[in-house]
Amino acid sequence: MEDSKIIELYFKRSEAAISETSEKYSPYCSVIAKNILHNELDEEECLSDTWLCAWNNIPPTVPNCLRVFLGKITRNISLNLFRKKNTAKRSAVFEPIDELSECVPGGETVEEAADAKALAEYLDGFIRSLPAEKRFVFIRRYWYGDGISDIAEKAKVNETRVKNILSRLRKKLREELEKEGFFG
Amino acid sequence: MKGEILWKAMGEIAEDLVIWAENPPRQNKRKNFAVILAAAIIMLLSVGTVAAMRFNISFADLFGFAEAEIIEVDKQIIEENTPVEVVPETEEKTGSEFTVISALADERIMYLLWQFDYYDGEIPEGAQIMPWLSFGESSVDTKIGYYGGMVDENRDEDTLVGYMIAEWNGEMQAESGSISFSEITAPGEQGSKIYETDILSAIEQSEYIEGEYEIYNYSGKWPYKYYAEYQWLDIPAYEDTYIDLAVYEDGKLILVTRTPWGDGVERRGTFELINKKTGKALELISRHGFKDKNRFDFFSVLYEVDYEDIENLCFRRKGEIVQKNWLSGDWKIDFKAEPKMEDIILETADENIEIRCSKISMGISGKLPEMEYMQIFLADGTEISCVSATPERVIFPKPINPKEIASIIYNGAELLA
Repeated sequence: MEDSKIIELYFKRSEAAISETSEKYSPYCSVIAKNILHNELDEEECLSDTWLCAWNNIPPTVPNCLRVFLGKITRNISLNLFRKKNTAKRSAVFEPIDELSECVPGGETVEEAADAKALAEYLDGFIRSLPAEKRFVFIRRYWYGDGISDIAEKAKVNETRVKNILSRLRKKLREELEKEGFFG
Repeated sequence: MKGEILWKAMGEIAEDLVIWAENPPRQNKRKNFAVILAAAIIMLLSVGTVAAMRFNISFADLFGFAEAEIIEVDKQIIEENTPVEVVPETEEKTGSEFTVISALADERIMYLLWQFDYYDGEIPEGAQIMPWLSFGESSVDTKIGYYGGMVDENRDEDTLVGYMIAEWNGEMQAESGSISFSEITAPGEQGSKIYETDILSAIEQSEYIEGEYEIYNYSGKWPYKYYAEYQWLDIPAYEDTYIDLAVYEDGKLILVTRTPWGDGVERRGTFELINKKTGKALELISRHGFKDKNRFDFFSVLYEVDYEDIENLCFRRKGEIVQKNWLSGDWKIDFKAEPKMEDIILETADENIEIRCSKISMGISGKLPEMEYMQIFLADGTEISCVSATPERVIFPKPINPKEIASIIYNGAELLA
């Protein structure tokens, strides 16, 4: 079913909206959930929560692109679930987030320092300035949460190259964020 | 965790970027090779020794073709002949990665593509790598291979892409090849020299009366017009050149210099006036000169400069721009390739002559007189202007369908049936 029809179902408060969404976008969203959670049961829970969240938000929200809208929800819910499940395990880290910590200068209490909207806009510009291969690697890693080997396979390069690209980009991003005065 | 703030911010990037990353980008880097051809060399592989000699010579020098044509050939060949013929092999070193991307080969020649990625900074513009190709003890036949350094038109600042076309005979095919290099060069200046001068002193000593001569408007004529009043100040400028007059007016500095005539040294553009503090050259606004009967060249040169900067000025002889070592190391990749382009045998007029032909090259064997010239025509009358042509190895400038070859004229005689 076309996205516009599915969104129409949400606006009509028809429960078919959820089944149609699930049918069409389960594969897309489960990739993201799997990247973060690595657990089938948790993935299912995450997807159910994603459809529910969509139900609660449409209307009033009218997504421009339904799959990215759902992907963003999955991304957030997956991370929350990951945190919840791993509260007791201090060593459990979601690697992409762990890596992104390298880009944030300062101590452990910087979360409040950056203007989230401005930061997102800055990241958008940063990503757009990258050559295609690097842009692809960066988005796959830090938006979709893909593993290194998955990215290498998709981009048809070896894993070392992916690691090197990411490492250089994190270094560059840290320098630019510092220069631009994010994080105080 | 600190990274969460960035992860969350990533979640807010524009949707078009997220959608764009759903599919991998086209690999332009490995296909669009319309670009710069660096110096070419001939590689001679001699029996047993694998000793190689190289000469600085370009494709154009060798074959009389425009370099751009050659590159276009490669672009087409690479684009029309995928998948690659060797598994990409990589050598990783700290801060860099050297990769053989692909090879394309028939029974006679091999195109080899490589890529160098540098992670510790930017690769300077004009950087070149001159890799060597070796097939160990099987590098037989003293035949030519060619090398051309080439960079991608979509070159990143940290990536250099190149190719080589090499002879590849049967014995080489049985061996593993290796591609290696030990330095990356980049354009740099060599042999520059600074000459101290005292322009302020020249201004003070110059017998110039403001308003008496229209020196700014007629600066070019001044030494000639006022020859009778001309005085030698002998303020050293550079080498055997002296400043005889220096005038500063309204932000403009005029220097009249004197150089012995006829020493055969071309000085135009060789020397420049620089600001020692900034290292930057002053823009030469105008330059006039004439030769006098006493065998001197006089030049009146005009610059715009702030008065307080004059004490920092000096002359500089520009160095020659040469490829200088930029990065040293030993990079080597062993690889094994197999010919994947099959030959067809063309029907010949003389049964003692065999012509084998693939899409990219052709080999003629049998008793033939020394080649004076050879012409190849397709069925539609198009003449193929070959990249290189010896009877044993004719390299086509673009991939062709061998079945479309209608005529091969060798020293005026038709070889085909």
